[in-house]
Amino acid sequence: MDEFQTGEETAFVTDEVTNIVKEAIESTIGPNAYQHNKVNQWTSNVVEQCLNQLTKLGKPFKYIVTCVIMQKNGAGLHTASSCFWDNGTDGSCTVRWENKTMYCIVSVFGLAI
Amino acid sequence: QHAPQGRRASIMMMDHPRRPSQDRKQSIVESTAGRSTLIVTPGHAHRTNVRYENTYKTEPDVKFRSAEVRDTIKDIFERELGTMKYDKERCISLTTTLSEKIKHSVKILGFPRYKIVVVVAIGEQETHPSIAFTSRCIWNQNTDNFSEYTFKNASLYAVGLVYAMYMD
Repeated sequence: MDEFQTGEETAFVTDEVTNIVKEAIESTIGPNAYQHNKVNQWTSNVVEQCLNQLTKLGKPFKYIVTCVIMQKNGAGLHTASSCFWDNGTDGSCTVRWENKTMYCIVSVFGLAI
Repeated sequence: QHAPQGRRASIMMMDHPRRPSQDRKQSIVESTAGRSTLIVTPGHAHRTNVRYENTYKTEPDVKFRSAEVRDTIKDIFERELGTMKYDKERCISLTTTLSEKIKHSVKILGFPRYKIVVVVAIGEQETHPSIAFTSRCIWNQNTDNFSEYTFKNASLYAVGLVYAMYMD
């Protein structure tokens, strides 16, 4: 039989996903200042855009995208995640971004099907 | 004599007189019982990461029960956090231990063939809310689900999220 493929094309590629996320954040909230009434819409837009771009990659993955937008006024926030998955094919990446008035943290988890 | 009933997967060393040529390496053969057997030809190094083909099962036996998992998250938060005050040093390690604990409890509840992702966020309680937390997923609507619980006390808040994706 032929050499068995290790399936590298269908592993989670962190760099690619990081770029997608950065673009999504910058185009949605890049130049803006924190506005409480707009924050919900911003998070939805960032997540929607990330998912759209991720599906365009055409890989056999299920995705979970979470986005946190927080105002810069001194409060602390800690996040952690724990995953039960297949180490060879699944992966995650987290992008931390900030501007003068707010922080934005986006996490993408990709699970191979 | 015939081979015994219920043959299981085994690694067989093939000492064939017609030894295969250089380019043949490992091969994975589907046996009639539907299991995979790994046949290794001698003189070649083992390939460490072999990817087995999937045995597809489109419908889960046990579906993810989000209400039960929500109660589990709630119990763990109330037990571990209770009336704790927000402390920067402590919360760093607390988030990781909490997410491990929640993952462990969900595994005990028993949802076979499900992949689990647990996210825990702990933050300081502020007089004016200034944070928005959103998430969205691409999944199979019939089989996949998530569960979420937010815990609040006087000085901190904690958000626990559990996503379960069925591996078909």
